[in-house]
Amino acid sequence: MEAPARTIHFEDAALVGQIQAGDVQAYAHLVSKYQDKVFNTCWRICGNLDDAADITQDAFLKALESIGSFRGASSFYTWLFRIAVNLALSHRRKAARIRCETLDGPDESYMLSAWNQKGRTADDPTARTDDAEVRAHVAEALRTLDEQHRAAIVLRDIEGFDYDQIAEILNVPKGTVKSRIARGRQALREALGPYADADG
Amino acid sequence: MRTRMGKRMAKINPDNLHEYLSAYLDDELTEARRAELEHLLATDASARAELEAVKKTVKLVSSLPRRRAPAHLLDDLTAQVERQLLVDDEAVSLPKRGYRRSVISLLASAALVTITVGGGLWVFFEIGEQTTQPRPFPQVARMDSDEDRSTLKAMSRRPEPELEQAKGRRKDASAPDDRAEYEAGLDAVTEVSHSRGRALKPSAVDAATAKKEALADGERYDRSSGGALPQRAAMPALLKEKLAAGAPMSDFVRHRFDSESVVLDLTFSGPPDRHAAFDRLTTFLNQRAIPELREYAIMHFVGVGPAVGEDTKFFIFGRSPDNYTDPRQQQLLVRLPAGDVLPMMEAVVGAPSDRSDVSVAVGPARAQGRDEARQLLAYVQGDAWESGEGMAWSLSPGEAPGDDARQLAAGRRADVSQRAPMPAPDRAKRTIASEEVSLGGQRGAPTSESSAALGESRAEPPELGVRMIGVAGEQRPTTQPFDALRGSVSRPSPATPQRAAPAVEGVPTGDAPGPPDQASSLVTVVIRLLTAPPGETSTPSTAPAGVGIPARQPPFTQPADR
Repeated sequence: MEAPARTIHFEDAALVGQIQAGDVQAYAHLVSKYQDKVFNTCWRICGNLDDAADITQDAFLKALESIGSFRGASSFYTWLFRIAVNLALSHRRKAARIRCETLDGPDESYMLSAWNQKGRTADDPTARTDDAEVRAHVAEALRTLDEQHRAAIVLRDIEGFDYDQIAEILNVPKGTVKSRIARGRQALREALGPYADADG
Repeated sequence: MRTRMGKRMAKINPDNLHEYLSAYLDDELTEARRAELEHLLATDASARAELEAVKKTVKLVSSLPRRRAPAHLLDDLTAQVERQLLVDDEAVSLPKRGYRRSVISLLASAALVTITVGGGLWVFFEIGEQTTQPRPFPQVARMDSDEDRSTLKAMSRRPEPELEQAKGRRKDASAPDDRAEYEAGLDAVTEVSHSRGRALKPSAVDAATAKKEALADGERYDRSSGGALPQRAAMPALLKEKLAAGAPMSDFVRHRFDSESVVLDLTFSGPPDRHAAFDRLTTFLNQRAIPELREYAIMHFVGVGPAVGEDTKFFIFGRSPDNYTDPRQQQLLVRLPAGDVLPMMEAVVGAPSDRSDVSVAVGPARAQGRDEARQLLAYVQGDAWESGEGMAWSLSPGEAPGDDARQLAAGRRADVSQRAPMPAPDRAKRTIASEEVSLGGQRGAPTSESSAALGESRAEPPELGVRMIGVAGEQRPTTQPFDALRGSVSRPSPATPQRAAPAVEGVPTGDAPGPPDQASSLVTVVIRLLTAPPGETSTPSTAPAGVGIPARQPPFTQPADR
């Protein structure tokens, strides 16, 4: 899995400079560039699409607010994700006291859209629903992870950050990242049961 | 060399194996560690299997679907920043959250102009979700609390004018109270939604307001516009009816697939069997000329076309967590002719040898196992179902439905014991709810207060046995509890030809049902395809009752979590 951030560092730096000079279009460019990634990360961490949209918006606004203090010691990409992940984790802690969110609702639609696809025939009755069910299980298993493990897994296995970047985003040592990812994967494997078996 | 590698192998603590494997997959091991681990993998099959499992786990997680950010996100952000720059004449600064919310609200309100029905329906799903999580099992027109039971009893004790009112024939007096209660409840729910820190979508708030206004104006819900979930399409009217019937406010925010009349629970031993059943079900629906509605239903979940209503055939996939919580389930909402319900069940459960369990609920009546389910559904096809006045009032051959209700409303006590004679003596009484409802069968030996209330003299049963009997101690029977449960069933013409229904324990005796009557009323059916919990296997439904099947659920109670 490729780490996506490093090849865009210089372009980001230029955009950040323009933003710091007051160029709103540069800001729009950065938002457009990263909104999907930030949104997906927030979604997978907080578990709710509506909340993810709010958090994504907050993250970009907070980044804009703080961009004057951004000195480029790290890439803008990881810096932005640090803001977003912190907001998502903070939101999740608050939300955990209120209600339990799930990830499986949106994923369920895949079962339906799959069924709706042309070509579903009697000789292939289960393939697509199998996929949808597996996704639902995976999403549910991810949801049940400890939040720190979950954030590490999302950043690594969904967003493709490397360990150094994750350490920077989560503001923890690299060894901690390694441990969280390993434990998170182990917990996921246990939660997924036969779905995660090599021959499953 | 082997010795050196052996020493290296010893360095890998089995407790840390997962960490090494995980880092190995991510290419985050040092050269030395990598060599050690690769040697271990070359010699240890269990380590290789573990590595493959971790790979599989990573693959599953990384294959989770992605979504694009909301389309309006960029516009919202840039608009706010530009405005902030103009207004404040300052460097870029963060707008306040409340301001952002107001901007979003304005945008959403504008969008709401074109979302007249869907938004209104959404709020009900949302309200239900806000107030029901966590919930172990879907609520399907089921009263399950002491409060509900009290409501049932209170309903049955109403004097006749109130009964008339409850049947929706006298709206003037009840409307203001109903509306106030509804509005109070909706406001409370809305407030809760906000107080919980999760923004209720502006469109939802506005939709709720629009819905309240529509209700206040006594308007019918606009079914001509698309995007209306059928049972929700009639929501304002349904709410009023339910409120008038005395249902507690909690019903409206707790139930999802409420107002459904028939619930089919089909339990399978594992996902493959369930998926096969799912396919049989969809095949059946395709064959019943419903597929033209399929795409719309699936795409929108909340609507099946421009003419949604009680006269519309449809099916809709429920989804978790909006309609149910257990992701192992598949759940569909189907509206189809009553005569198709039994064939549908037969099509879905498959051959008798299939390892599936069947449970059917029709209003408060329940059947367990295929045979019982067939008989109950066959009864559904019969006249009692189609009478439109509740089962109790349609069981006497040759009488127009509604006669009893009219008599009751007029203050004349209906002699149910004569109008709805008991079935054969050898049929054991099947008490559905000991204090409220009984389905047939206790001829000559009434044991409950309620049956005593109906009178001791009973005619010999010619064929029919399903009836409602009063609440214990009451002097008259009532259909109100059943009406509250049976929900939206189209009311066919009283001239519907009568068909005898087969016997089931406590269900009418008679001939086998005739072919499905396509002109019969439409009924709404919830089909739940379930997977048996691990360690429990479904048994063929031909097995004796009680063997390998879940325990019977008492009426009005929450089924055990499966």
